[in-house]
Formats: sequence, structure tokens, C-alpha cells
Amino acid sequence: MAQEASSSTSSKTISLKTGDGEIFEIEASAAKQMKTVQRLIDDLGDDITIPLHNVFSKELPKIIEYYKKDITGEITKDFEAEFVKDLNDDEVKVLFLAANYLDANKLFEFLSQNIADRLESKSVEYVRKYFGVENDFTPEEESKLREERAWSFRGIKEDE
Amino acid sequence: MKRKKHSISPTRVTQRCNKAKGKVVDEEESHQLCPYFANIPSHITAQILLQLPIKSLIICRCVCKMWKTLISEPHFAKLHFEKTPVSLMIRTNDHRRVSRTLYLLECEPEKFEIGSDNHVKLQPIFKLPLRDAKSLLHCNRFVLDKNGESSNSGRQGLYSKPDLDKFNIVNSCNGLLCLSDLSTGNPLVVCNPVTGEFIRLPKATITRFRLNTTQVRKKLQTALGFLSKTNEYKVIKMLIRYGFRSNDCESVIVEINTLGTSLWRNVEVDSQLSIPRLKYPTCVNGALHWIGFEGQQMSILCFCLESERFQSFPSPPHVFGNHNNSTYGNTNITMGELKGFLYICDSTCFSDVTMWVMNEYGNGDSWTKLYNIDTLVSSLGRPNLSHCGLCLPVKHFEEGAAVLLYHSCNCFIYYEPDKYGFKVFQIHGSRSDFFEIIPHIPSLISLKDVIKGDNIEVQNIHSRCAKFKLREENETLSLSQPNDEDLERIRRSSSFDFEIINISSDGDMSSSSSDGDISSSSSDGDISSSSSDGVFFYGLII
Repeated sequence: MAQEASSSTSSKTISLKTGDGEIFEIEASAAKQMKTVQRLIDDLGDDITIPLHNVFSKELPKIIEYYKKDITGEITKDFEAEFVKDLNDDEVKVLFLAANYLDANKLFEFLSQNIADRLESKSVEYVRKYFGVENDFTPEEESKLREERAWSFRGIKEDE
Repeated sequence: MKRKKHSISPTRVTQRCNKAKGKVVDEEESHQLCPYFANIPSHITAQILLQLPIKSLIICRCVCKMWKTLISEPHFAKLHFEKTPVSLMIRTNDHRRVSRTLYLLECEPEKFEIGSDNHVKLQPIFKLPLRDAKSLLHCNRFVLDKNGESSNSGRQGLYSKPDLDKFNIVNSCNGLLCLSDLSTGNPLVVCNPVTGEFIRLPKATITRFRLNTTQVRKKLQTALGFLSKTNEYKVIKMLIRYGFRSNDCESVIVEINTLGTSLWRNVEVDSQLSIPRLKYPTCVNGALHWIGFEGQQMSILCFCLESERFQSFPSPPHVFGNHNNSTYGNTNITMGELKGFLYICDSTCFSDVTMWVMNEYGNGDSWTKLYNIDTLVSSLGRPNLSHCGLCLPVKHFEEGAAVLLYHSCNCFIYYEPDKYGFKVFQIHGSRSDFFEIIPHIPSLISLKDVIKGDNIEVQNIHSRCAKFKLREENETLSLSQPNDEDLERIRRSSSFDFEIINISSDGDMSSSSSDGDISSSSSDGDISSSSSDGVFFYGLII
């Protein structure tokens, strides 16, 4: 018993339960990187399964994969490129929101950069659709902005 | 304002979100609707927006009102500015025409993968203010109809007079440009080309700066500087009187204006101070520096913006001034700022372009040679002096070297020893043969947040003159690699030979033509450890 209490956290695994009921295991050192999880561990103890209401079985494995690499210090540009290569826009958004919820800083910054890369050189309409925001400018404001844009970006297609 | 229905509100996020319009839905539904970003808090949106280049931010400003406010917020603009790398503003430089258009070239190494069949458009495009909108209107009153549009379909754009309407760009400092009169050098306007705002500098005190006497030769030197300690921009103006017979400076009057104030203040100058011919104002570390040319001697003049006094500064490395047979020797030296350090670039002979960086500010011994680009001597075996280029290092990359040399045939040469070797680029789309390149950090910071006091009006080009189109404003510039014909033309017209070198991964250099070689290290092995970093030069032919 005493041994258990003093066992190093590096070899311990934490159980995480997603919002749709699945359970995943991660290393305690990886859990440390996700501040929300760490807080829950501190409150609830590291023996019970930590519930994550807003993260689901679709995205959690990917997040775990990222942090598995992180604790061994193997995150390279190639790994990151590979990581996002096959993700479509929706998947990236879901991961991004999950990283925010989990307060997983490194992944959050990496994904925000990736989203920014996806938005670069896209038109206003595309960005609006991506974020799901509606245009709330008045018609006059909208036409003025459009004119300024047409001047600065000659030849850019509005609906790329 | 409509939003998509049933937005998610993760528990933690709701606490920080001040715009939570969506209801908290149960987990299953929220999972299906997760991809909708509609209600993410603004600071998370900001996190994404901060990673975008200026080009994209200008577009994002038009997405919705919330985003426009977010991007225009001083705090956001400041954070973004701190992350923005140095870009290039390109302006056509034809003496017959007035150009007020600046094309932005954001230099990323990936951009230089472009080939000869694809053109990278130079955009976005910014405008400088018009020097005198009223007089321009007056000259063109028969051309414009009452909406300000040109009614003469044959004439594209307004007629303008270069000497009266053109601004000279003095320098770029911390995101702002200083514009002056082309002939007298009198500083007139400070502007932020990205936001379109500008301030007209207060009028000079007439008596001291009267420039109409012809007995004494006078020159007006000006520069814009930034003091981060107090977050102030200052414009300095020096009137240098030269002796009638000699080139020596006889007296100098210096005035300074803190941006936002309405007065030029006198600066006390040591009467013994002799100011040589000055070039390349550079603001580093809260002080302005110029290279002074006095015969074969070179020095650096330094003006501290905090104390508002000139102070001594170590000279450039002693190797300068040792060029024997060239009358152009002095003027092929340029100075500028890269990553907060002062650098000097010597390209007297195109065969030998050297760049030095002052690693420790103020310490004359810390001048370190970064590059010594040994390009080829002409096929005649001797350098052709009339074609010596002037190199202005513009950009220092992390992963690769880039030397941008502007050749008389209108091309940029990007030099990167590790991956790309030399790559040549040309600017297309303009009738002008020459271009002016200004290293500039684009900034969204509003002038209103930067100036002290309220007595100066911040104007905006978008308010009145947006519709006016000068003749050259119908051009679209793009950058591409020349095809073989163009390259041949460049080679033939130049005194030197260069080639596109492919450097394979194990360091061997294979060249595409049989002449000569290019080495990126000097023979005395004097390269500092940062030689793997890259540099972007811009060169001008004199």
C-alpha cells in the first residue's frame, strides 16, 4: 500500500471517459499537459475515471496521440504536418475546441496555426461560412468595404 | 443578428464567454453541432486571427462587425504587430510619373518555390496619401465628372506632376512611413499605409528653413524614429549648410517633432559638429543612425531619441573604404536594420557582396561578417564598374539565406546557400522599369493610438480620395521567375555572370552553366555561427 502511494506518476495511467461513454487511458504525464484534466485529477483523485463531458470518442484518440509524442519529445514539423494532413475542416475545428476545453495549450496553439493556414488567402464569404457567422453590416457599409477590398486585392474572386 | 441554431456552450467556455447566445444543449446534440464555431469567445477567435498575415486580416475585417472591432482593437493590433515579420513594400520608380501605390510582398521562403509559369500577384495594394488633393482636382477639373470619376474614357486616370505631387519615402520605422518632398527633402507626412491613416507634419518655421537663398548650398535631411520606452515617434529635420567652395558642412540646424504635437523643437547641437553626406537613416535601439560619407571616409552618425542629442558611435568595420580603383566605392555601402541589429552591406564590386552585423549595439568590435557572396567576375575578367549594384539587405530569414539583388534588368535575386542557391525573380505588369523597395513591417495599429495629444488631425485616405485614380494605378504587379530567354538577356546585359545553382542535400554544388562558382564563405573563414540564417537583399543599380 505504501508503495502504491509513493509510486511515481510517470508510469501511472489515468482513465478518461468521453461524453459518449467510452474510456481511454493516458499516461499521467500526458494528463498533466491538459490542465482541465489535471484539475479534475486534483479534485477527484487519480484513481477514478475522469469524466470529460464535452470531448468525444472521435477526437480524444487523436489528442492522446499528440500528447504521447509530446512527452517523449518527438514532436517535429513532419509529425505535425502528418497529424493534420488528413483532417478535414470540421475535424480540425472539433479538435481545436476540444483542445480549448481541455486547456491543452500546445495542441491548442498548433491547431490555431493550422486553422489560420487554412483561412489564408480565402475570401470573406469562405471565412464567414467556416466560422458560421453572418454578415451584419448594413448594405452601405458592405458596399464600401467591398470597394476597398476590390482596390487592394485586384482580381481576387469573392467566393473562392 | 442571426446565428446558427443550437450552438454549443462547453461548461468552462461559458464562464468566459460574454456573448453566449446559444442555449446549453445536451451532449448528444452538441456533438453533432460541434463544428459550428459561431459562439466561440472572442479571445479564441483572436488566437486564430493572430496567426494570420496582414493580407488575410484585411479580409477578415470585413467578415462581421465583431471581427472588425476585434481586429481594430489596439491590444490586438499591437500583439499582431509584434509577431509580424519584415515585409517589402514595392513602389514603381519612374521619374516621369507619380506613384502612390505600394505593393506588399510578404517574404516567406515558401513563396520562392514559384516557377516561371506561375505568377505570384503582389497584393494587397496600399495607397499613399495625395500630396495636394485640391490642386490635383483643379488640374483635372475637366476630366472628372461630379462623382469624381474620370469621364474621359480614353484617359485612364488623373494627370499629375511628379515634382509637385510625388512623395519621397524617407524611411519606414516600426510600421509607419515618413514621406517628404522629393526636391527639398522637407518632411511632410507620416502615414500607416495599411490602415490608410496619415498625419501632416506641422509646417516648418519659415525663417530658419528658408531654402530659396542660392549663395549657400543647403540640404535637408530627415528621418522618422521610434522610442519604445515612451512609445513615441519622432521626426528629425536637419538643415545642413555647406560651404560655398568646399563640400564641408559649415553649420547645421536641427529640429525635432514628436508625432502628435504641433511644434518643431530646436535641438542643441555642438557647434563643432560637422555633418558629412548622409544616407540610409535607420532606427535601432531608440536612436537614429546614418552612414556619413566624407571622401573615402565613412562614419556612422548617431542621434539618441531619448536625450535628443547626437552621440558618438563607432565606425563601420575597417575593411570599408579600402576599395582602390572604384570611384563608386563610397556609395555602394548600405545600412539598415535586421532583427533589431544594425547591419552594413558592401557591394562595391558585385563580385564581392559582404554583409556585416553589429552584434553588440554600440560596440565597434562586435561587427561580425555574416556573408561574403563571391559572385563571378565578368567573362572579360574584370568587373564592369558601370554595372555595380547596390545591395540593401532587406530580410533575414530563420531557415535560409536570401539575397535579393535588384538588377538593372528588373530582377530580384534570392540567394539561399543551403536549399535554393540563387533564384531570379522579375516583376511584371508595370510600365516602369525601376522599383523602389522599402522594408516595412505592416501594422494595424491606428495612428490615433500612437500620437500624443489631440491637436493633430489623423486623416484617412479612404475618406475622400478613394475614387481618384492616378495613371499608374491600373497596373497589377506580379512576381515570377524568368524563363530561359529572359535569363539570357539578363546575363548578356550584365558584367557578371551568375547562375542558378542547385545545391544537393549533401552539400555539393552543381551548376547549370559552366562558368565559375559561387561560394558562400569568405576565404578567411570569417563567418559567424549565424550564417545559416538568411538574408534578403535589394539592390539598385546606380
